[in-house]
Amino acid sequence: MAMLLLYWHQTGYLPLLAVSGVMLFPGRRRILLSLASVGVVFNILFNWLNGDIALRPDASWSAASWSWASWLELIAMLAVVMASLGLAVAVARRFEQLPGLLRRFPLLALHAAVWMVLIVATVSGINALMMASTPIWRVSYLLTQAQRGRTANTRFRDHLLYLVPLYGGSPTPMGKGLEYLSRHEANDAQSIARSQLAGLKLLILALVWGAVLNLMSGVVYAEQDVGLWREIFDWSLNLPTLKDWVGGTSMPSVAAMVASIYFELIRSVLNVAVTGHIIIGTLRIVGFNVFRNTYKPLLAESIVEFWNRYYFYFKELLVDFFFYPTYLRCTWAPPRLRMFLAVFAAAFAGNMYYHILAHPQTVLAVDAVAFWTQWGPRFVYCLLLALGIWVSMLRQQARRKEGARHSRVARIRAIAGVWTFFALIQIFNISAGQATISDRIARLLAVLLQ
Amino acid sequence: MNNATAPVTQREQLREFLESIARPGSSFSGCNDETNLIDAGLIDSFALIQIIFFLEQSHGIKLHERGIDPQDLASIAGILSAINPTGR
Repeated sequence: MAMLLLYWHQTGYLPLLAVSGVMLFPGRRRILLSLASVGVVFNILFNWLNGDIALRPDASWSAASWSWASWLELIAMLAVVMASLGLAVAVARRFEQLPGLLRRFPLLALHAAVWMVLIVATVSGINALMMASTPIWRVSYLLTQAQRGRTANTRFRDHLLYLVPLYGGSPTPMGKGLEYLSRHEANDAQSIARSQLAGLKLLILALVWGAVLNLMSGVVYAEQDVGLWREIFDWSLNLPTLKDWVGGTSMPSVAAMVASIYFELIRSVLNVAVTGHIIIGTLRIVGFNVFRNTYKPLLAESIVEFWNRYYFYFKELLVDFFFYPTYLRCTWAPPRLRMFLAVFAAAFAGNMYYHILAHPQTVLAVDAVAFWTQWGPRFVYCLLLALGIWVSMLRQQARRKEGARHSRVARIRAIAGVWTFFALIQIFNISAGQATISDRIARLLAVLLQ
Repeated sequence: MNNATAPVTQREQLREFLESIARPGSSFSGCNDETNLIDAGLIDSFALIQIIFFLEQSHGIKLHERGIDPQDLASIAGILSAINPTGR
């Protein structure tokens, strides 16, 4: 059943092969998954080369031009990538022997090194080097583990599990690093069965939410690619998507705009849930019973709770690499200011940095205007998000002290408030062509003031 | 001092504090000293801040100076170990 679901979710032949191997030989889990990771790297490089992406300034590849030399280059690139990952693990394993400055600031050193590589990639035109930033947060978890002295006795192949995850995903490491995965690894028959059942549940949920998303496309938005709904019913609310009316020139009715922002919130939650459930579902099927990435965020009663439940591993990344370090260092600040600084370091600065690092072109081109056009709206989004989280955390602490519990009506009101907050700030987060901050503020005011 | 033999009052005091910051409706009855409170869903990762604050205020512990990782404070044993570092 799990295999059928993974096949349905189009996880690819390699994960299917690896997962079936692990299900047959759970004791060989790590070696099978690390072998699959090497296959994933091979696959990525093969697709890049086949996709006619110029990996060298003078290269122009195509499927027709594949020769033994092409294969040799592919194998050489595979060796370079594996050697780079091996170097990262070797550094982590010998962390105590590094110079003092590197031991104190390993993440700063890593990020500085990656930016250097990105600059070299831009100057030289070697596009392949741009992928240096892709595993950066996974390597960051590796170095954090090393800093705590917990990598010396680990094996390279074990680190491949998360450095090149066969379950895919974005630069956000779902399942974090080796330490976290090991803590949640099922090692006896009963816990493996429990983990696989939990994984199955997520894969089924992904299927259900995927169907709901498809239905929404037909019922709410009248999008074209909704075969079954269209064939049975020729009816739709025909609402504009948030992207349409934020990026467009015409302004729909207020009712349509209000409905559109709430539906967009639901849609984005379901999208994140589907992707996360497939990834975490796969991890659980292979025996790593880690936390879900999305857990009922639409039932959250506070902004901070929503943030915790919506995209758990992205929040954890920001908390691990920005929030805690800031909070622990700012012992001089009074409690509220200290919390404020830590929240802004994570939800604002960290959030912005994560996205800029993932799309660094305007920074590397040193183009301030293009930079602000691209990142200005997200700057406002992160600012509002950080403010909301900070206020929400202060309120949550006060409630905990009072021991107050919400009544049913108050709970519904709280949930509605959370929906409204996140629905409104999405106006600044949605990718909508060239819509500027003032365009988006005009849209926001149109919703709020009517 | 070994954490297993940490004063009963210290453990009880800590448990009482943890219950005060736990998620509403959650119960500590089934957890022992080693239980990871975040994994068990009793507290969220932001509640760790309150644990850090508690350790700083009531025990004068500067986590940053001692190189303690906040995630290590997710269990009663981890917190006791931060309070009594020689116990481990």
